[in-house]
Amino acid sequence: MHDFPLPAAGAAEAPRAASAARTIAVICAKAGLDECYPALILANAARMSGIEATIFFTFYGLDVITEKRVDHLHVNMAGNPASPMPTMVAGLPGMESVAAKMMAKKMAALDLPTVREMLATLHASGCRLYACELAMRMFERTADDLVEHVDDIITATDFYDLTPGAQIVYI
Amino acid sequence: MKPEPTTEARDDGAALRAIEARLDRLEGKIDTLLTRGEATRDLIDEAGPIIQSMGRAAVGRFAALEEKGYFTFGRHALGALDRVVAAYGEAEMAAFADAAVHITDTLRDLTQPDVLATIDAAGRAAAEGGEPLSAWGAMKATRDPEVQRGMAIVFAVLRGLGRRRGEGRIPPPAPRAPHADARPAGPEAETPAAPPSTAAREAAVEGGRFDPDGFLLDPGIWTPDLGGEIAAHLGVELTDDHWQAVSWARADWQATGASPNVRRIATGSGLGTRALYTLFPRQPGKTIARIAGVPKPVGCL
Repeated sequence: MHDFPLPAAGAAEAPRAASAARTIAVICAKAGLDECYPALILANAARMSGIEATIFFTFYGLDVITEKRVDHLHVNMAGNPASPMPTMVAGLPGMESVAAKMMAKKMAALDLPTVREMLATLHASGCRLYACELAMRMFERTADDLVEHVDDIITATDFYDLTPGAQIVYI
Repeated sequence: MKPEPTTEARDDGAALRAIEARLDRLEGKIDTLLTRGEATRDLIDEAGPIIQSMGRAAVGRFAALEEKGYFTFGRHALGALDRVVAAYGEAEMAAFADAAVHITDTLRDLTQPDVLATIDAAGRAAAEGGEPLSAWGAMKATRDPEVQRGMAIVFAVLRGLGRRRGEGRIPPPAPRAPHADARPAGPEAETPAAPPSTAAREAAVEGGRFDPDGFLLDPGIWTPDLGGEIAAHLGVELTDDHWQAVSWARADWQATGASPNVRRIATGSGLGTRALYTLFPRQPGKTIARIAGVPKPVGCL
């Protein structure tokens, strides 16, 4: 089921007692850039800190790991009080993609990796990436629609079985 | 308070000279007493904040007096105070030394209500302050045994503070693991031999070369041999691949002035993310930076 071996925690360096068993599980249920980046970055930071990590992509979050969507994720400015764009303007057709482009430019300037690269990095670092089985059926997607880095398609109960003792973060 | 200097000042001078003569004889012994180090230092650690404020109050009072021109024996208030200590008899000092040892012993247990009450009382007294004293009045006040005992403690604290400042030593790493408290305190929780990173920290911090997080303070003193030593402390056995990552990180730091993060090392060194996590399973970025003797990498990626 999971062919990617997790790096053996503590193989070379004895784990620090406090974080030895620390595990986080992030649930990513939305696909806005402002919603998926925090999930990806948090999970990646966990791996860099020697913490086991899992991301469960469900509902609209599936877009983040869908091959045809991953490079075209948007950010929604409408109804966002922190956005510089008034909601009346942000709701106009095409504004979403304009905002996404602006944000993409900013992130490129900061040398932030793309979502696709983040997924590849997470996978390589040993973070497990799962797609939600129910959401897959709902959006009529198959395993072939997903990016190559996804470990498996699982149910919500599988999710709990696979993340014993994890601290769960819903984004 | 209006200064009434002339006669008193002369009296002060005579009294001080007499005292100084006594002090010179006693200085050696007092040093021994006051520097009966560990106990005093512990006291400072435990009761630090309270006693520090007491000390500050005392220093402030003397500084104010000096400003008004009452102290004729020099501008170095601390040095002067240091010598006034010697006005106490030998027996007083011996008693104080014993008391200090006793106090610190009990403080260490932190369960002695009477000791806490003493400190509390001292603190309250310090807060109350008192009438300003003339220089002569201050000298006279020092004959009060209670004041003497209190002053002896203050001076010991001042000395301790000065010593610590002067040493400029790196403080022992503050325990940071926030989860340690939440864990059950079974025998298992205590036994796992101090993890290598901690051992490395302690060993290294002792030498003053590393910050509390285990990063080399002065990247300039790094040599490949030192890198090997650090890796050994961290429990990492360095293969060629390890060295590839470490040397690249080192070179990148030299070129850019910033420590590379995992992503940069993965692409720059040509090893890739997966290899880095295999080579350095825990905290690849920080581990590589520690071994390469460069500062902690900053950023989220």
